[in-house]
Amino acid sequence: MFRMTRREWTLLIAAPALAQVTSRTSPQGAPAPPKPPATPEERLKKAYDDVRSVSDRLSKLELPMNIEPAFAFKV
Amino acid sequence: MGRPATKLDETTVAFATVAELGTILRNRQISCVELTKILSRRLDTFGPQYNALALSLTAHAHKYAKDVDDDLKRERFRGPLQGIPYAVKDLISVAKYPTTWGAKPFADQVFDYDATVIKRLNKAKAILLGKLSMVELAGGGGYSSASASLQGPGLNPWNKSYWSGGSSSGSGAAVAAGLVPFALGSETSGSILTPACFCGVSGLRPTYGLVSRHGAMALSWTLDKIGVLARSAEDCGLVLHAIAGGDNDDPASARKSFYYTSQYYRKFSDFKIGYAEIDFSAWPDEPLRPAFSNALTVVKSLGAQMVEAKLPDFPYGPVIGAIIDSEGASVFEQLIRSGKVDQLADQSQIDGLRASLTYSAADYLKAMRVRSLIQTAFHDLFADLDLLVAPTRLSLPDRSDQPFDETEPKRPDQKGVASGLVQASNLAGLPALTVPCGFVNGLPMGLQFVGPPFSENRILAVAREFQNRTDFHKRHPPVPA
Repeated sequence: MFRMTRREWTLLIAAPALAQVTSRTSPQGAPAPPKPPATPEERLKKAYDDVRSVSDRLSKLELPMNIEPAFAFKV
Repeated sequence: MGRPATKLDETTVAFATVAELGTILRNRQISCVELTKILSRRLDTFGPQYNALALSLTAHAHKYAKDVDDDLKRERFRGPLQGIPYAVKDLISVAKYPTTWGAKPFADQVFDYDATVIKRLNKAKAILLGKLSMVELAGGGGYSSASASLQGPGLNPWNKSYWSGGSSSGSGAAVAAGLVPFALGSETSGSILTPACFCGVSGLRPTYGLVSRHGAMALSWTLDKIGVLARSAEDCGLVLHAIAGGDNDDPASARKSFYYTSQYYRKFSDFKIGYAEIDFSAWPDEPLRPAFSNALTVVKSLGAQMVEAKLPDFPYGPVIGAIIDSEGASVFEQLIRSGKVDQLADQSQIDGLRASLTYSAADYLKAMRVRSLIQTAFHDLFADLDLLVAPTRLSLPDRSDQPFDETEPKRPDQKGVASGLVQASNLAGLPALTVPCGFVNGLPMGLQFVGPPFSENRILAVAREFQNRTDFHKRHPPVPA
């Protein structure tokens, strides 16, 4: 079976087409998501929609099984 | 031994660097008690004018200052921070005093132990003057205005109509206004670099794991770092020297020490600095471009090899968002489920924290797996480069009295380094240093240097040389005396 190294996957996954996933602004150091809706209910719904949107965007990234999470986070 | 007759005026003392104050103290031009009195009065008087002061520790400070004077009289020199006053972001615990995390639900919270960084600065004989305001819960959940803080909106000392930046808002303002020579802040994604940039001071975010977070509020265990805001790159190095090092109380400790050197061993002509011309000429808001171009010219004059670079193309926003939100939801689960989250000042934070509980384990793990690839990509990038340079922020700060302007400015399609660098470098755990590099409409701008893990001395050396060739870091806002 053809196996790719993590480095080769990095090159693939970093291809511009996948990286077009729209960026959600980080909660720190920078303002929160754009155009807050008017009512409290709409604002809360927007917050849930934002989570779903990030989830959807992440789900579009296809990773091979051998890419492990950065659990033992080492630099 | 007599004291020289020269009387130092308050402005000289207030805007002196750590290194200058150390010399003044050791030469006994001023006593530590006198220095502490001057700066604690300034912090207590002017701190509230910028909504920067969370807690004054004046009484605590004067006792320690007297001990330092006793040491200095006996010529017991303890290092460059001996007798230097400072303050910390109010997410760092000081035993028996309130640590509010900038948030109403934690307004009465008191810990019975000092954070590791406080212990280390005590050992270095630095003098803690107070605790500084911050964006509530360091912005976990996402906030929509400068008002997201227990003390009110962080006001910029250069112009109080503008925000001081977040989430280390008080740390940036207090250093800029000459209330303390240095302050500690923390960063998960931009919370040191942003206020340092907006307030026109130097800000160092160390490599993940270099400085212990024991005793500091957690927002994201795999992203949180404690760092320094000060008047110069050199001061950042002196403070980092004192606070860095392994700590058994921090599970993420890299167990590495840091020894600051003011004489870096490599010549600049051997350096390869990655940058993108477009970051300086087309990505910043139009009024900022000339000053950024001038700053780039100064960097080029250092004599290093300048190499056109491009940031590895990843969806940094969703990845870091999913990680901060997921870890933050776990940290603050009890706050959210109990309903006390409703006591926060910013409705966007409340909504964001509630929603963050709905992230799935699969989302979090996917983000952490992409993060592995991001780390690998940066490892490869720094195989060919010594460091990256880019504008810290592409716009001036938002106004302090209005919701943030969410309008996305028009940016070029082509990307360089600046776009996403703060998020990317935090995901990869890299050190970064921002230094002031110009002014537009009376407000400061910043230039950031980012290097591979544990390259703090390298980025400090380049930033120090940048500051040798410019005077932006020596300017200070008009502050009532």
